[in-house]
Amino acid sequence: MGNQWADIQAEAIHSIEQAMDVAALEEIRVAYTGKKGVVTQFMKELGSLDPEARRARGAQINELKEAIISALNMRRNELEQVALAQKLEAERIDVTLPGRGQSLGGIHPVTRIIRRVEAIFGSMGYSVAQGPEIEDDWHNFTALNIPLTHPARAMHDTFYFDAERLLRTHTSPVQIRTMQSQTPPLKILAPGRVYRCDSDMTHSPMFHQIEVLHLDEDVTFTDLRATLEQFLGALFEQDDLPIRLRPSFFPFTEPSAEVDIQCVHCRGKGCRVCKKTGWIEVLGSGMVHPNVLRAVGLDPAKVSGFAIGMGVERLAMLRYGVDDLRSFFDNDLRFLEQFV
Amino acid sequence: MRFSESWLREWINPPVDTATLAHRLTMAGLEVDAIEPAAESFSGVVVAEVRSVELHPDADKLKITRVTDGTHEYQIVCGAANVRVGMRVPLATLGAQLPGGLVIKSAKLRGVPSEGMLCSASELGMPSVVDGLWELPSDAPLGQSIRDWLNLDDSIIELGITPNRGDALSILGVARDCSALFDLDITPRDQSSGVEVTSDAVQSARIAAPDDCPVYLTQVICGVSAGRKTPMWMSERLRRAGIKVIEPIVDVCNYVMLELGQPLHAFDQQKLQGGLTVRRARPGESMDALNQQKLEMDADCLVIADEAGPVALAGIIGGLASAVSAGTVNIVLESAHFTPEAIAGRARRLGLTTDAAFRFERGVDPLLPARALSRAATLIQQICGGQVGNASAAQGAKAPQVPAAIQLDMSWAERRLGLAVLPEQAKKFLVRLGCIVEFQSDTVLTVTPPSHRFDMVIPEDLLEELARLLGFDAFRAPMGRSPLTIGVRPETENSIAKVADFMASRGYFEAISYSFIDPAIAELFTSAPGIALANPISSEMAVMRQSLWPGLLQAVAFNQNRQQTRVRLFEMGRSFKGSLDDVQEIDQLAAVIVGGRWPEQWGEKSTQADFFDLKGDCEALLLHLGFSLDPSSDHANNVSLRAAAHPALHPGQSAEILIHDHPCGWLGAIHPDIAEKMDVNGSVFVLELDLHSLQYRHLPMNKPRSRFPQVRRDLALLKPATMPIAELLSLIRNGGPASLREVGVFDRYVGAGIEPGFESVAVKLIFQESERTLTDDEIVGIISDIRANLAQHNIQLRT
Repeated sequence: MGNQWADIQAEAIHSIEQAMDVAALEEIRVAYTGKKGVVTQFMKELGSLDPEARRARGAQINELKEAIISALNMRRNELEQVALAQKLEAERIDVTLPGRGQSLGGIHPVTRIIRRVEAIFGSMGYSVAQGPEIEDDWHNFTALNIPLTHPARAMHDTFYFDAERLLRTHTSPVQIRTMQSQTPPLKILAPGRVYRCDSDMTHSPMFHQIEVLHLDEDVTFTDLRATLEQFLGALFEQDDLPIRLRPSFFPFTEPSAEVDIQCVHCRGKGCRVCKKTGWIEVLGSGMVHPNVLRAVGLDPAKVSGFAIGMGVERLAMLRYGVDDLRSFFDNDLRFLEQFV
Repeated sequence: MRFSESWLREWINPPVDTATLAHRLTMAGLEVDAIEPAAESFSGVVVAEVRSVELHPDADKLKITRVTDGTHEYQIVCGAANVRVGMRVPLATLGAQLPGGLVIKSAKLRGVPSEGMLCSASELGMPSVVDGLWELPSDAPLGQSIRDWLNLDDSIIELGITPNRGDALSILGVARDCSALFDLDITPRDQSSGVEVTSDAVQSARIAAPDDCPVYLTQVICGVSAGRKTPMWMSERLRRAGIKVIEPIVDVCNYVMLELGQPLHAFDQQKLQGGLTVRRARPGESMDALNQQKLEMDADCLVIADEAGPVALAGIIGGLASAVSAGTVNIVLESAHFTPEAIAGRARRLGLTTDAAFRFERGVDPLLPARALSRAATLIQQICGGQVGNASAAQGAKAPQVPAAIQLDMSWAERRLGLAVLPEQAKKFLVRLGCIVEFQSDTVLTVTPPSHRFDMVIPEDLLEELARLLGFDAFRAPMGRSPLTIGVRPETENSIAKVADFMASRGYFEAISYSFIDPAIAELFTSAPGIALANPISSEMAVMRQSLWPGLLQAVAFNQNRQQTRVRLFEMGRSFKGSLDDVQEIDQLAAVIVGGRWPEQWGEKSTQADFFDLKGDCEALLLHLGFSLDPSSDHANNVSLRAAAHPALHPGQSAEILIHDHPCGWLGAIHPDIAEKMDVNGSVFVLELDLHSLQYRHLPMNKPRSRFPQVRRDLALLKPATMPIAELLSLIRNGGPASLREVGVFDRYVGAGIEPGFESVAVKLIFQESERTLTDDEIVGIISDIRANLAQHNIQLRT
């Protein structure tokens, strides 16, 4: 009988190992351990044996049953692993396909420069001021010490609405409006659109300027220079960026200075960008003219200050390598897409 | 202003090379725009004289000449028609190198040997007046190198003079700045003993516009020689200054203007009728000017007139009829002071630019006319001969204005400059500039500027002089103390950058379009007239925009024309509403979308963006900025939309955006008529929001959450198709109890099975009590009440 047990077990194990899916396993399980299964039949036959033989036979049957169940479980596990592996394999994707959804937009280079300048001066305690773009003659010219007959008016090709009203030619009138509405000490910067009646390769009838004003007791020309060094070094991310102040003329400042930086492309060696001079003009500045202070009712004996004016497009051209002014206003996506 | 460096160095000769001189001038405020060589590079060309000319035996157009350089004779074959015995010409000797690199070698021309080349002016890179050889004056030194003789190794310096420095528009003026910069004396070259008066001829002149012309000097020179010629040294200096050589008398006037800064004019006396008057032009008067232009003048123009009418536009340009020409025998020289106010702007208005107007507009030394007249008369007498009469002066109302004394407190100067300047040093600089300086005390100077420095009026003007002569590089110091103020925005303030960054993150590119647009386009977007420019640059940029949409649509068209089918742009800028007397400059955000909902991709079906794409972005932006889209909240930052008509929008796809019932923007599809006129393709959707309305939000506030479960019930409702969803939701909300927390649409259907004129809407309702659990019975009761309320508005449960 011993061989019989071994044969049954071997046969069961063999068919379990041959089962290729869970359903086949289930059939085997029913065939051996189900209600009418082989093992169950053996169990039923136990009742006809004497107690001694029953115990021995019972142990054998249990052994057989456990071996079969164990083999079933093992095989079921194996099959489940295979099925999972197949499922996962079926779910394989091409991870190199592009992600689904939107593209990203971008911020205009002019705005980028304005933000950067705002951030730098903001860290030095300056706050942003605004003023109207449709200005009057007084705020745009007269209060800035530019009387009607002054030759400097010829420097501004002004868009007029009538004899009095015009499109601001610079952001300097914001200085005037701020000094009228607030009392020193003042530290402001005023970015915005300005307009001049001029249009060619290097002139746009609309462009952007940022005006900076610092007014307090005994603000000096030396303070101006130090501020410019800090600002330009931060803007162009070069700590010891050499700068150069050249005497110039603006009606609203005295002394006045044009400010050059060492060419950021060739580091002063001379190249196409700096026209071989090693220097690039970036902005104008000066000490606020006493006539400007008087125009807004301030006493030049008590307060002094400096003003800085810069063209945003010029800075953007330098920083981002843009060589055509008109690119800023074409709104060509192929241009804008570079400034994400 | 352009001038010859050697001319300047004749007046003052700083011990530095050209580049250093240019740098110092630039750093002192006389900006050097360019340095150019006075002539092209060439060598081996000398002055020679033609001794003989014979015809070439084998060539019709060639001649065989013998020329001498004073020591040797050469045989030169020459093709110039104007070659003749006795003329002096430039000879390029063997080995000479001409501009362009041509090297002269001995050669045979049609069998005849030639030992060099006779040159035309243009072959040497010089301006030529005649075809053929360059005929040199008979006193040109034989054998001398042309470069040495004409000083062609000179440089031309071009200065960009700022409008306040009219005094520097001359050799004398630049020399004065050099004098202060290099601490050197000037050697004036015009201080001869004066011209001998040999005639009693005078020109009568009077001033009828005394405020415009403080002084008007004239001097008559009779019998100037007919064969007069401008000397080579003078024409070369004029050439290097960029001034055309015209005629000796005119050339002298220009030369003296360049040298001293005083514009002069010469009349042909025989073409004048009677005395001269300086007066304002009379209405309707006109004059043919030297440049052949007919000038129509008005009472704003100052003229010099004889008894027949204007003969010159004062300080700007002379008249053609009385102009000096080669045949002129007697001349009247004019040297006058005209005030800047009488000249400024006139030339520009008449479309003229002249060297005289350029100087008078900026201001000329009022005490200069006599000196300049004397210099001109002397030079004319030297070059042209003639009998010189006495200078005569007509005076205006008041003496020419000269600058008043200025007090300069050096301790104040230090407080303004941030740098101490020694009073002695200050005095030295100012004296070099021509000021009279006296010590009022140890630290206070009394400074009287010279008559040519009318720009020195206040102490700050003197600060500028000190600073520029010290050099702006001297003002170096670490950043001064700067009181720190906290510049952080309130948490409830939305920054412009936050708006822009959000739009960019949703796929929109920032655009910048012009603030002025074509009125024909503007009127498509609004019936209100735009604020119009009086002097627009073109008709396409003539009125201020009242909306940012036209600019964005133009940008869409621009990009569509460049194969971009999916365009998303936004702009932040101002629109200009109201009238000129009541301008409202409104900061706005505008956005436009056209083309695919998604960039073309594998993962989404290609569908065109519609109204709800832009609305979704708009709502997301408003949520991002802290606004509420929940109509049940009665916050002041509650946003809603309502259908409303806009002239630029599709009548069925147009909505007004409201913040707490206050209109703050528009959203819609561009009207197809406008899309066609603006040349944009496809369905275009636009958004506009007033940024001012979005500037402030509420600080977020925590509210207690309910611990009890929420209950959801869905209703399928049939509503009249004309009723907006928002109204339906509002009816449910208003008819429901406080425990109704949320109402939302999750499906809608029109079509088979739905009665025409109706629409099926699936609505979800979420209930929650804060203090207890809602029972089923309660919910049934509530739903029943809501249904009853809806039934009154013709809304039924879908069955």
